[in-house]
Amino acid sequence: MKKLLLLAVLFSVFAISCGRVPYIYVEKSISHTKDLVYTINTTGSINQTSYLSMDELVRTLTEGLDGQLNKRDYTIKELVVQSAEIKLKRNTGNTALSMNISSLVANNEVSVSPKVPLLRESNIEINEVTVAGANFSFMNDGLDKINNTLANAIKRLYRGSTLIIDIKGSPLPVTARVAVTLTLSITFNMQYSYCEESLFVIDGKVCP
Amino acid sequence: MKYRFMLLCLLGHAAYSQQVNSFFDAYIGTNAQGYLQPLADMTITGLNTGIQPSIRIGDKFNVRLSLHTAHIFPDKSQKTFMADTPDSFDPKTTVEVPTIVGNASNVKVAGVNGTSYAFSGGYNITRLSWATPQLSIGGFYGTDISLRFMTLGKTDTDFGKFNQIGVGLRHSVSQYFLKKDSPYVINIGYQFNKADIGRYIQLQSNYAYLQAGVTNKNIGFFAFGGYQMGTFDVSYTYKEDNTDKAQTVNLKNQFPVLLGIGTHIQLGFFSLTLGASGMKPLIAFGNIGFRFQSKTKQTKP
Repeated sequence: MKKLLLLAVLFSVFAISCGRVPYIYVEKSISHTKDLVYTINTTGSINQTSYLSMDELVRTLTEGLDGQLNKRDYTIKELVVQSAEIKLKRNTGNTALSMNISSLVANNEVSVSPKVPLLRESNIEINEVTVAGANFSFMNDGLDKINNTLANAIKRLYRGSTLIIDIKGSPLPVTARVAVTLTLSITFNMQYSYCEESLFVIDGKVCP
Repeated sequence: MKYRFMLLCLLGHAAYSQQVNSFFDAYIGTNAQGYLQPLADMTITGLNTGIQPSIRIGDKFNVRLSLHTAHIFPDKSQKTFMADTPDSFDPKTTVEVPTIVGNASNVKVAGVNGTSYAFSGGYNITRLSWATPQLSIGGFYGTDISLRFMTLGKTDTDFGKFNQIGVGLRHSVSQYFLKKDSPYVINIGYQFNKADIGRYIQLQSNYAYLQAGVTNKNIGFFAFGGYQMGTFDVSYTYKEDNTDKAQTVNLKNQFPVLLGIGTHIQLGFFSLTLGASGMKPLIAFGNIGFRFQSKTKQTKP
């Protein structure tokens, strides 16, 4: 009788332990910095354009997800601008001491949209290398334009859409030659969710 | 299906199936330490709980085979940690966000001029369960030795191999100043644990303790308390500029004092131990064992 009781206890332990593994709901975020490079070598006003493909951005972000793309119910919940930075590298032939720069942004979702200001005009000194935070220079219209374009990209509303980002400015002194490589680094933050086979014991939200 | 034992099936399951890396790679740097710290505390404390196979070590040579199970419940304070936003984010902000055992929702922080950043959520772990076989040999000079050994999985899988070894030594000190038939027992003990949880976690811990109890032939009650030190190294990869980069987070247990109470029942060769320990995390443990004992008493020292 005692042996039967023991066998029953042991069988119960192993039966419980080897049940089906549940899928749990997981939310995560990942960041990625995209560099837009403008090589400027001019006197007078500065006007350069760079392009940022939404498909490429989303692909780059999701490539960093370590196989999570293949997980169940993978969903991109939000993709937004996290921060920005401007890096200036002085090139041979530069005679300007600084430059005033601003930025405009447009997209080509249906047709090329009107350009709206992205960065308010600010003066940046030209040294060997100058790094300037651009977060406080963001203009609401431009940031909204980018965030809306990103939102449409993850909803796949407009295939192949591209952000068109202009850098405009002028040298100081005004007659000087600006020869610099300007890098506008925009960091994007993506929130996503998926259902994961649980390695752990949970009582939380379980995927259906 | 509300609970199951991690060791016997879940690790075996993980050993041949999925990418485990994604469980750990939510953060790098100092945020990773706060995110993973509860896992270190829960695992190290779990391994050091329920290691005493009985109360009285006895004076007859005996061999005991037991299955030790521990259910580890994280404290509320272990569900969150204070995390910093990335250096490039304005304004620099410190926010309370979920640890790996915390809430499964991201925490979004607003920055200047419409920027924002989201911290990753946890896995909503309310209980980590563990089962380990243990072999104890005792009854010589008031001493017993316990061994834990287990190996699971294959090295060529994503998870890798699970290896665990534990060695414990326990000695009756009450035999030197209490009568042989006294119901009171005082033991001192030491436990060493080492485990490779796949290719992702390497842990090692030491625990020295005092166990005191009252018992008759069949049933007894005991309390134990001691000091534990352990290391818990988590290795994983993360993507940066589309290349895999290795990250190792070196953790130590944050709660060195481990206290607990329990009861032990011995019915013939079958034994059952139930108890609780803590306080952070809180652990419920149980041992089911079989004891085979010689009829010859060992000579007392």
